Amino acid sequence: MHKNLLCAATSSAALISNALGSASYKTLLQGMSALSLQQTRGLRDDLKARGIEWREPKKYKKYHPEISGDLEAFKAADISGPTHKMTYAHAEFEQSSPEVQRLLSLEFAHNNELIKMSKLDILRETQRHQYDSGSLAAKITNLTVSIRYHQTEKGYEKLLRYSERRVHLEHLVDRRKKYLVRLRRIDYKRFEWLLEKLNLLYKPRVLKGGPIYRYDSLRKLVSMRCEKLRKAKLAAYKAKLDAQKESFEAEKKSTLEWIKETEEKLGIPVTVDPETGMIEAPLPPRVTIAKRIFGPYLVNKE
Amino acid sequence: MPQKRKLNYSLALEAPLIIRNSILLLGRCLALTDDDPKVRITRLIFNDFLKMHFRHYADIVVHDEKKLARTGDVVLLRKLRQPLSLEKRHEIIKVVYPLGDITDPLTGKKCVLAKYRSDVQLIDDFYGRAPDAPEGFDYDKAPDRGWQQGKKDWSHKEGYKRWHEFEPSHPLHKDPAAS
Repeated sequence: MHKNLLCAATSSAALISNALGSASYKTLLQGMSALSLQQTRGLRDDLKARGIEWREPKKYKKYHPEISGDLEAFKAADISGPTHKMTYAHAEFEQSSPEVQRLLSLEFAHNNELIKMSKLDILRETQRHQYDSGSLAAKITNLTVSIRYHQTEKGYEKLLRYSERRVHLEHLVDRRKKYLVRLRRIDYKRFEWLLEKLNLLYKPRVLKGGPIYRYDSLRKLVSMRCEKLRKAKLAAYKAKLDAQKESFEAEKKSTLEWIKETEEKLGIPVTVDPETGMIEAPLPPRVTIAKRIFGPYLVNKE
Repeated sequence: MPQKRKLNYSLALEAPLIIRNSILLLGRCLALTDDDPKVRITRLIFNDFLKMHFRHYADIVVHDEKKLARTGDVVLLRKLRQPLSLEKRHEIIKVVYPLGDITDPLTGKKCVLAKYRSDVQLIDDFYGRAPDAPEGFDYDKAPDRGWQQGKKDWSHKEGYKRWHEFEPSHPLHKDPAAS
């Protein structure tokens, strides 16, 4: 009946006004306006008035230093130095003229040569011995250099151009993470030393995945606000009780003394100590596991 | 004849099946939260239908008076005489296997996987370091675990996806545990 009336109110106001009278028609309209207000007003607007507002976090790619954990930029090797091949003929390189040296240096070499030499510079610190390139620490250093190269301007240009490189770089970051997890499990001391040397940030694995919604995040923010309020109220209440402590203890002591006196007067065993409180029976001694199992077979050995 | 129990595959109901009434328990510490640490206990449970054992786990809150718990360590638990709360019924006695810092019980030497640390060091010294290379890693000089905790190593925290752009004054602003 009520539903029908509501429907009719929207379509033909005149008919109802005739049937019910002007007063009831007014109340109906008021009810309807309240309903429509409830529908438009959402949780977001309601919380904004209380100072709780959700800001969507920035989305980064996996190879961005914010996510990958690189706290340092790419350290390039000295450009005036020789390429990796020329290091084997070091004596001849030094004897040659400066023009020839410049031609054979990293200045005119391919980019890969620069990355290779800058890898070798850092590898000297982290590798176990001079021929080591296969240990976990050495692998991680090699990967960090190649990842950091792509985070420079020159490397990033190529990333934008070729999608294969972007995919490859994501694989590199994943592989480095895998090796870091493995090194942590095997050798924690070396793991921590390596983080310090390479200036890396080790982030914990995200176990709870899934998309992020505004509604859920708002609920979290509200619960955080409630927790903050709750803690503040509890602290205030604790301070209030602490202030009453001295007077309470004095009262407690006086009453305990009175109980003790009356018990002594009546000749009942005393159950109260005015300094410590109630006298409780001590707990029975703990039975050891050996005694529980072999108890009947043990021959009085303590 | 052992009692046949119907298995309900929810974690809350499984926990008493895994913990049972055992006095001593072995478990692995999980990432620390603000409150008491959590320990994961695994046990093989027989499935009647498939006639196979399956690995089940239960995460329990434990009492840690000496603050021994660190993530990934295998610890020994003991049942408390009087439970401190509804959840807290066990306490940590000692750390059995610290993560990444294991000693061989027979010889008392430190190990890296299946090798002794001293053997690894010996091989490295045999090859030698590169000329004019800086000093490398040394096990004796290296400090104990924990000197990078909260600086570069954030494995003691539980990881999560970033869900809100906090203000710069907030402690969760650019939280390293978030990714």
